[in-house]
Amino acid sequence: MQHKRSSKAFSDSTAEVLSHALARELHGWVGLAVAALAVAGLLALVAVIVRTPVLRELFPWPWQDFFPKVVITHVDFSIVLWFLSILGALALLATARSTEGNPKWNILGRISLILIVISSFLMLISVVFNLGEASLNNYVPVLTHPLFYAGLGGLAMGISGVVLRLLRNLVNNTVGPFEHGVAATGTTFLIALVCFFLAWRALPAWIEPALANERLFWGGGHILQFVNTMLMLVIWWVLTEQATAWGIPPRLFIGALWSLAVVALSGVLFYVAFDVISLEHRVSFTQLLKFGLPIAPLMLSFTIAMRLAMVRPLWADISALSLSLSLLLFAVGGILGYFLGVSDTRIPAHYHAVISGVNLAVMGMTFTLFLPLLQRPCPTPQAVRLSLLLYGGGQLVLSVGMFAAGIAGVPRKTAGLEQNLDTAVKYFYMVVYGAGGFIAIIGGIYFVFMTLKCLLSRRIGGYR
Amino acid sequence: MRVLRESVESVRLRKSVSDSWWGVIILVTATLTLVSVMPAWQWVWSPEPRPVTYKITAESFLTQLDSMSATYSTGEFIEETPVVHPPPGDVYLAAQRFRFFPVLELEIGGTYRLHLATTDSVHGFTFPLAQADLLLVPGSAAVLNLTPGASGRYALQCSEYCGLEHSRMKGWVLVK
Repeated sequence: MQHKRSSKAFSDSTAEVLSHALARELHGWVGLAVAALAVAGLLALVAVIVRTPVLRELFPWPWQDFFPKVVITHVDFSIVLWFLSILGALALLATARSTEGNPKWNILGRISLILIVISSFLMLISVVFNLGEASLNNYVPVLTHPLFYAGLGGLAMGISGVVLRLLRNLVNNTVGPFEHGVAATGTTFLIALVCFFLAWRALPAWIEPALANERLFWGGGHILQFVNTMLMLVIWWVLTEQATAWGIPPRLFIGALWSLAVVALSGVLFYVAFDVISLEHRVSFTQLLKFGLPIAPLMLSFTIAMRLAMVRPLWADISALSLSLSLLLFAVGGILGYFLGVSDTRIPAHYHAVISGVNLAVMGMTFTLFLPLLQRPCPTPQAVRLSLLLYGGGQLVLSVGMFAAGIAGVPRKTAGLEQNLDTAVKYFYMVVYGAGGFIAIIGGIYFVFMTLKCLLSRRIGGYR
Repeated sequence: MRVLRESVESVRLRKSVSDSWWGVIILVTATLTLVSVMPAWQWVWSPEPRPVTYKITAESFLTQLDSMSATYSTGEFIEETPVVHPPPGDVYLAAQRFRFFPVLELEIGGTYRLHLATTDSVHGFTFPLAQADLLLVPGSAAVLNLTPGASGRYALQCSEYCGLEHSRMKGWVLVK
């Protein structure tokens, strides 16, 4: 059975239902997302200055353990805040589409946005004023200070607000594949919050802060990886609609997204079955990712690859190019994920590749959907292609280099002499990693620069 | 050539399983089946040994370990950790932020009962030579049976986040 796409393009049908107020809110979500990346970039620069011998003496910083704190805030901004802001933007679009631009509980959107901006400042204040201790636990690393936790709490509440607004507005309204996809992603985000809550309730009083934070964010952190993947699948759906003559079959897409939400829901049961400190608890969530996550993206990837095979030349269309690069990086990262070590650079190699896959999809959608919807001038196709290719190519080289270095025995989360690069092989792979990282950073900076410039420029047309 | 390619593409589209209800059924069934048999997969892939555990205090465990180290010390050090060469039988290894000690030097074919414990906080213990991935909890020791088959320098690592230096928390077992 064929599912020919609707006669009206996705962006046109969305633009028609985007009122002035909703467009301003969308501007806020996209601006917040890109600002999160820009701040994360600045924090990465500070991290480099703090660690580089000559620069360290030119810009002395008063605190000894500043480096891990900068890294923590960098991770939380560049992954957690960035992706969740995009979820906020997609939830807004889905709400607008299902209600034809007249949603109920509309005020919730602006309240959520303001709450998240305040929360982001709370997290930044914590790092600038050296509050709490650094905890480099998995998924959501933290500074152990009430202000930082309050920031994370505010972020969770803000995203919950837009997700609840979407779910409320889906009742008795039009629900297409896109709206289904975003609703399933939002529901999975709420499941992650339930996991955080259950972990917090189950943590015994005697454990030290490092393990407490690790287990607090372990289960929910894994469910957040479902959210990131589902976010990417929703964007794949939009990009496929834009890039190919035939979109993804709606039934398959809806089945894939809701089956992932059901799998994520089973994570809640682990809190009933296992002690939160136990080995079984730890292993069960990694197993859930290994066995619960791959089938849906695999089937959708296969379908999209078939569609893309008919698009020629692939690089001419921004949607097709970003979609192809996203598929490639996500596939590479997914495969690497089945061959991880314990504490070496194979782990960051895996997550850099999969996260880059998600990022490339978001980058493609920013240029082909968000900026046109916001009536902002888009950069030239050449500039967009360059940023996509630099970022995607660089991340691919980085991930392969890092994975090989991990096999050779380079430990993760270390720098300088701590890396123990005592063999030529280790050294070579880390040079490959460095070269890839350098190229990817240029691509990333270029993307942030272009997008911020467009977002800050005047509108080229009016909203509905 | 072009006609052939177009016909292949049209067949691909028409025959694509993913475009039908069958695709949805296969996807949902495969996903839910994989998840529901997760424990079985783990058992098939890595049948890890279940260690015997017993109650200890950090002091009593360190007393036994120090006694072994004093008796069988080789006088050598690896990364500032003393190397100990105990005979086959009971041997002791402790985890402490952010190191494992001592470095055990074992004999090929020797049968050892490896007693493991943490003396401060919770740590993980991953040791591929023994196919082990354990959680070491204060107040409890685990015992692994180990018969090394080949000489070499084998790494063991902490697999549970325990602080900023966690990634560097490694230890060694030498087999000669």
